[in-house]
Amino acid sequence: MTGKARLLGLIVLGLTLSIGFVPTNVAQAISSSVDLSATIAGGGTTGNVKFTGDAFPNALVTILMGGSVVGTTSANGLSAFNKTIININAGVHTFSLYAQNGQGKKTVTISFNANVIANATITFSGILLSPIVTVPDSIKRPESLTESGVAKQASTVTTFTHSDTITKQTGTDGGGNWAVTINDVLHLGSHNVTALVIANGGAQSELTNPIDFLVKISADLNIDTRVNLTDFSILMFSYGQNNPGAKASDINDDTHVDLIDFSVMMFYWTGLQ
Amino acid sequence: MKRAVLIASILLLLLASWFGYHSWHNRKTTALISLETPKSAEQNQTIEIPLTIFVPSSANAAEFYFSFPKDLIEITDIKKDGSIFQLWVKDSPSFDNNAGTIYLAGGSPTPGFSGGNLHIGTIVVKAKAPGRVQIQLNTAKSRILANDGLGTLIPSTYQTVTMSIQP
Repeated sequence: MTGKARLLGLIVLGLTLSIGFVPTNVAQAISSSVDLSATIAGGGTTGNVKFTGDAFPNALVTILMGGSVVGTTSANGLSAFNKTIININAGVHTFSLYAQNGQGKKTVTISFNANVIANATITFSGILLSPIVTVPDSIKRPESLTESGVAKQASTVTTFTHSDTITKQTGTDGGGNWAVTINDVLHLGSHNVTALVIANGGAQSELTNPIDFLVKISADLNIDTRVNLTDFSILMFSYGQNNPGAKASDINDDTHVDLIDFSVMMFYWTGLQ
Repeated sequence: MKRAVLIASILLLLLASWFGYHSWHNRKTTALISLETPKSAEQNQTIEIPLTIFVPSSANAAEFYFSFPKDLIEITDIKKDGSIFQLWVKDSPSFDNNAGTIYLAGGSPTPGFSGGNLHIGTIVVKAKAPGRVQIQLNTAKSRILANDGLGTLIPSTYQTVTMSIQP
């Protein structure tokens, strides 16, 4: 074994040990998609770390070391980014990485440790950042819910809507944009959405943080912005039923279509326009 | 001794005031359901019995379930003329002379209704046979709901009235 090969072996060993300190969820998220490699150069006390991967088209990617920003770069139109942080003191460092869009919305921050070796460039490649998810703060039952955002272009986004657990999958377009519509009548109250992206090659991003939204009570059963005789007709169709097929008729979401639902409708009545 | 009597009198006065206040307060916060039944009627006579309510705060929906002695009276009609209900719910008003039941349910959009002597409907009754008739309200199912967007229950009371049918 040559001296260079022995050194490479030490670097890889160092990296392997370092990853042992990574929080479990982060380690799981990157273990299947991030590759590590190292290149050895001449003498000195600093080394370099290179990050390559995908975010979404034209994303602003920020790299932090120990919580401080050490570099930014822009992803290209195909979502790919490539950034090398140079002259890092040898030793174990924690790096974090996220991307944001023009509205300041960020992907999940992923973190991993690197044992930087003097005169070496360590490369983290195959990074796949999570999607950015946008949902309205609230919808009025029984409105449909649109979940949208950006992710790596030409890939597949999966969303998970809780507490009515609904999974939806869609592709991203050339600009990385994606959207899904939940037409199910959701229960009243708090819900959240998470999402992940799967690249064509099978790499999977980390799940996004849950984004909360609220489903509010409404008597506008046909979603025409009015509460009138049409809504009354829809209510009457299911009146007296338990767990009606037309879920929207159960305005207060207590499984019974009864006088309470009628009372709520009377409260929000706008008239016979 | 005099002192003990004085203290007892004060306590009694306080107690009476407390009961008086709560009685007044309950009257102010409780709805009242009334069937204006005559005290007596003759056999085969047709009687119109108005259903009225007092509601202390704004309500927008109400339903009433009554039962009656089917061997003594029968319902021939329920009139909606002059009702505060602008909308009636499915199958209402209705009656069943075999089961001895009456059902009225409906409401009005915001601002709803409040105050006294609010007319719901008129129950038209035919006296079939001599006897003492009581039209009972099913208090477990009957309710008046607030115009608050939540359908909050407004507590209510109903006093059963007895009608005597003479031969």
